[in-house]
Amino acid sequence: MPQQTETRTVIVDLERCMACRSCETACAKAHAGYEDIVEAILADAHMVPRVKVIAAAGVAVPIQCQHCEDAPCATVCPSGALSFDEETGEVRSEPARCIGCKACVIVCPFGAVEWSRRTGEIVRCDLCEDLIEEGEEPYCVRACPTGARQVIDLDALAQRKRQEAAQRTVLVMTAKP
Amino acid sequence: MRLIKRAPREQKKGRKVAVIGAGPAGLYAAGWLASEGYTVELIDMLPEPGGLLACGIPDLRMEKVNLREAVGELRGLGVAFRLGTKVGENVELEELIEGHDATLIATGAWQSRKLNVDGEGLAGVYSALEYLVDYTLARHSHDGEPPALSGGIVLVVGGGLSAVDACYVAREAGAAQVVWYYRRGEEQAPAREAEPEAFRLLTEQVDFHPLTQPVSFIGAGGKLTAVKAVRMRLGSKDASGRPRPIPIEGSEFERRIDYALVAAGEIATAPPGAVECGIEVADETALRTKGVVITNEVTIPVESSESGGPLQYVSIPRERAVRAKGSTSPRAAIKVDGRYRTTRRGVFAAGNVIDGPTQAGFAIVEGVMAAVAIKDYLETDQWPAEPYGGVYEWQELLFG
Repeated sequence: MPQQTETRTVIVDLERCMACRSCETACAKAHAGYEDIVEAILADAHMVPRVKVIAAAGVAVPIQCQHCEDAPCATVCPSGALSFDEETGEVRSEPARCIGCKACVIVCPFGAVEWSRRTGEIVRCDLCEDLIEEGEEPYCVRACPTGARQVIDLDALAQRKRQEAAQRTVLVMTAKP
Repeated sequence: MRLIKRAPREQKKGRKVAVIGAGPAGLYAAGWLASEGYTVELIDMLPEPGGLLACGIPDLRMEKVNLREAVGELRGLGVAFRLGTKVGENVELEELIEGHDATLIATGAWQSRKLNVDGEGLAGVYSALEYLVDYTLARHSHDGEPPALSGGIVLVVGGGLSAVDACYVAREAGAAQVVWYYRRGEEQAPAREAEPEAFRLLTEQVDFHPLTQPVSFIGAGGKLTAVKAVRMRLGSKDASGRPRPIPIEGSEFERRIDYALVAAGEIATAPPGAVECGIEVADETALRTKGVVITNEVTIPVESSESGGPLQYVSIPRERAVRAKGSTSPRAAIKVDGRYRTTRRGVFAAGNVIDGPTQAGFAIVEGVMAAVAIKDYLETDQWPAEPYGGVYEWQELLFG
């Protein structure tokens, strides 16, 4: 059995995010096939970030594909460009199959699917599947200077949170009045 | 693609819903309603479910395997398909409305606009949509032979995605040469707006002539042999916000062609008998407020007053042109309120039949929203005279 990727995903620690948008730039240039941003701009590369940092009530919130269980985008996609992989729990995209009907853009609750006028295809976070499979970190995670973005194993995350919750409980129980 | 909900309700509610049109809007509505436990009957004129998704979009642009799987699931849930059934011919609309607790009209936009030029009735002149559908149906081994284009010079007219698809299919069907005319400039082509890269590639592969419009088709023995066309220049902006194409006098020319595929746009197509059933059909103004731009002008040649003088061209609103020629029936977009209710109790409409041609995605979402409205109606049995404003928030619908 291959490496257990089904529970791995990217999470963002909002307290650490300082809205520098390094993730956006890194994502856009990497998916355009460039390492250097200046080179990409000079080459008029098609740069669209798959992750976005959005200001809401004075706080920066990174928004990206949530890989919803029962994902609406995959439900409505008639051409198979978006599909839900039951095994990995990921929404997978095959932009080449996109017919540009835009149903996914309409139904995505997070605005995480965009449709590129230039290519006529959908643009959304693919979790850098190839990189994760090779045990590497996605571009946005690598670019994050504060470590706010992390690749996380959901099982490990739950385990860590249980541990933290237990510690809090103990602290409360043993706290002196 | 999935048409049914993840956890469909098993129990039958004993209420029947007819869905007319098995295109994107109808299929998704049927799936949603069937998942809710309603007995759904889908009626479609084509031998295959999917509407334009299945037969209008060429196979080379979209694989149909997902669609077929999803339709299979829908059948598995007990949805009855009455295919090859045309309302007004094989079944009356009134009969369907009477025989079901609710009816959804999702008949789309099938009627092709005409160029309204001489010779459009010649053998060899097809509406692009009609050709695409016939071609795809034949490919899917249904009855009917697609007109052979092999070895011929094929003219495609139009600037939208149907024109693009027509070019691709003409090449696939063995056309020796594809010639493409569009009356406005390249910058104004809706297909370029929609898919710039694909558009650019295609214009390099075919003989593309922007600012060119046919003024008549010429035939011999009832068969198309040539096109007479005129070059255009761009004038001030028209009602659609794009520069108006104006014919350049004296620029007419003839070109030999064997076939013509006319993609001048489609219009909403209500089923025959809708008005008689008390279903109001929207006017052009209603469509405009929904943000749908209607190309409302057509250029027709007019004989100048002095006999033997040169032909003159005038641009007149298309509606008037259509009516003056008495050729096609008037636009038939069904009027609905914020919950997709028509003016007839228990009858709903969604998809392109209410707002003219759009991309499939909008029809898909509308189909689901209309399905929710139908469920609301069947559960509450309320049909207030006052139209509902606004529309549902789709989020709750898909997650529900």
